[in-house]
Amino acid sequence: MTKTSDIFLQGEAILDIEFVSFGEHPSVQEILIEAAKFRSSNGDGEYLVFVEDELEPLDAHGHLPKGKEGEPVRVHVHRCREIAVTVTFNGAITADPFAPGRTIESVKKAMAHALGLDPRDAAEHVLQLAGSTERPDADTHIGSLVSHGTCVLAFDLVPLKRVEG
Amino acid sequence: MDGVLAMRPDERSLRRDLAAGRFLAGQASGRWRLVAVRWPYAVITVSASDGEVYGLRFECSDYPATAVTAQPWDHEADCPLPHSRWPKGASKIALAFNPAWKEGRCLYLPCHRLSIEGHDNWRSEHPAMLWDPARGICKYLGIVHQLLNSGEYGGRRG
Repeated sequence: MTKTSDIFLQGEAILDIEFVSFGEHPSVQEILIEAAKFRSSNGDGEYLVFVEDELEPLDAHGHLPKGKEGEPVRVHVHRCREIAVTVTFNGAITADPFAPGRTIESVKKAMAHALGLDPRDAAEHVLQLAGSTERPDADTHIGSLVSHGTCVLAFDLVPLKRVEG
Repeated sequence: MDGVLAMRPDERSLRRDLAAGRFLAGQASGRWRLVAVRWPYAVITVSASDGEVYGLRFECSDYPATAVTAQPWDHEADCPLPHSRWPKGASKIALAFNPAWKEGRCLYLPCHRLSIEGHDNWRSEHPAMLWDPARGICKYLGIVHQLLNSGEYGGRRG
């Protein structure tokens, strides 16, 4: 029986989370080839492969590390090495760079902490793309939200409102 | 293959979304889990911050063009979840999980097919919580997961 490695793939110009199967121990180059098939557009420059929430990209000539207990590895493919994120909350602004494979949930926690919210208060708030009503899912990678080769993102940290009336 | 071809387009769309990366990623994270699909119903559990899991039975006719309905469901006994075992909590939780609303057949949320009826004000007040055919059932599940993992969630009743 042939072993396979499954990944959850996100990335620049990839519109959703894709579930992709490879042979055992896929190379970074194999992942790059597969990611290109899912992109709605291709840009100039080198695409990098990140493991979710990791700061540094994988070596372009290396292989994907194994997932914990055989779980699919969560992978992000992007041209930006980091995304400059700005979050506005009650008039206060905080800014920090993050790797493109960071999830919305982990960026929210980090920025809420920087803004002085305790974890309980942070759980009552969500990140909303500035100038929109779009609230990306918790496991969305922030790099997926950056278009046209830019490496900048702006959010508002907004409270979860009660639904009534 | 013949079975897939014989399916209605709405069932095919739902099964496609349940096999897609976004749903599977949420399942792998432990946020939700598919129990069964018996068209037009799908039973899916959502995990809460205290480790409890709550079943929901979704009615998915005309998916994804039309919003789904979701009823709290005992996924082991395969019957409506007794009101005494619904989630409890302050404010947002008590409003969303209200057994008195539509006799307990609905969650009081803008993304719910029946609850949005007569609530046109929600379209401007809660645009981020409206049903979105492009994000389908994962958006609904994400909203419920957020509620069950908020600070206002107070565990299971009873």
